[in-house]
Amino acid sequence: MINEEALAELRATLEADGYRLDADEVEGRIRVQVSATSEACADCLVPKPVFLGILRNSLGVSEQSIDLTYPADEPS
Amino acid sequence: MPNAILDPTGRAPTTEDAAVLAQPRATLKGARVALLANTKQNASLLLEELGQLLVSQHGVAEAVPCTKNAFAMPVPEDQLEELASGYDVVVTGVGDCGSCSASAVADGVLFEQRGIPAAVICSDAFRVTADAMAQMRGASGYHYVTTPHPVAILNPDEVRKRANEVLPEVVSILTGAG
Repeated sequence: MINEEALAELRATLEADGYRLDADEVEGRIRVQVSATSEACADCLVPKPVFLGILRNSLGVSEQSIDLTYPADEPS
Repeated sequence: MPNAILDPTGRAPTTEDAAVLAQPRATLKGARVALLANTKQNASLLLEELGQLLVSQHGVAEAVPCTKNAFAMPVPEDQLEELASGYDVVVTGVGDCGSCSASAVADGVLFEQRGIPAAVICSDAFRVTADAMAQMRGASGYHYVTTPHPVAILNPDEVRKRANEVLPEVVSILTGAG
């Protein structure tokens, strides 16, 4: 089960830069999607490997069990 | 080539609390201080105000403004060397976004590892990213200064007020007091 309290803190951090975080758990894997809102600061998003480490620590799961999608990963 | 600072795949030295940090100065009297701004809005003004306070209230000999041109990236190696060899302490910031808070803390750790006490200023919305970078650099619990988010939208008088507010903690970090 995803730690919603930890996610709320991460959401607040991302929202300060104009990003949105959605997460769900499917078959034992955590899917996390970070998307840009119209207010997003392009260079302000923390690098993906850093955020993956943050998710690992905050959610208490291995990085290998997290599927993280960043805005740059989305098809244009 | 991956960036060893911002990319945790360069996560070699991650022993908890194993950071090699600088010995704080006993006093700032006579010190040369580098004020390393990261181009975020109001960073230069906040640091320059702090510099004036350090000179007028703590006997700093000289507080010199300088700029790191890419706020999301660590300080370039040549600038790191130049500042580490030319100054006694560094004050840097403002970590007022996710990427810049992480890189500001990475910079602070790099200066400390070169024996230069460094006070990093981040806004409080980005403690998560700042703490994460400290941990990734093997400096869990790295002490930095926070100020309420956001800093970028403040007017000059509000920035001056912030400089006064963060001054005691900046001094505390640089001198090891408190």
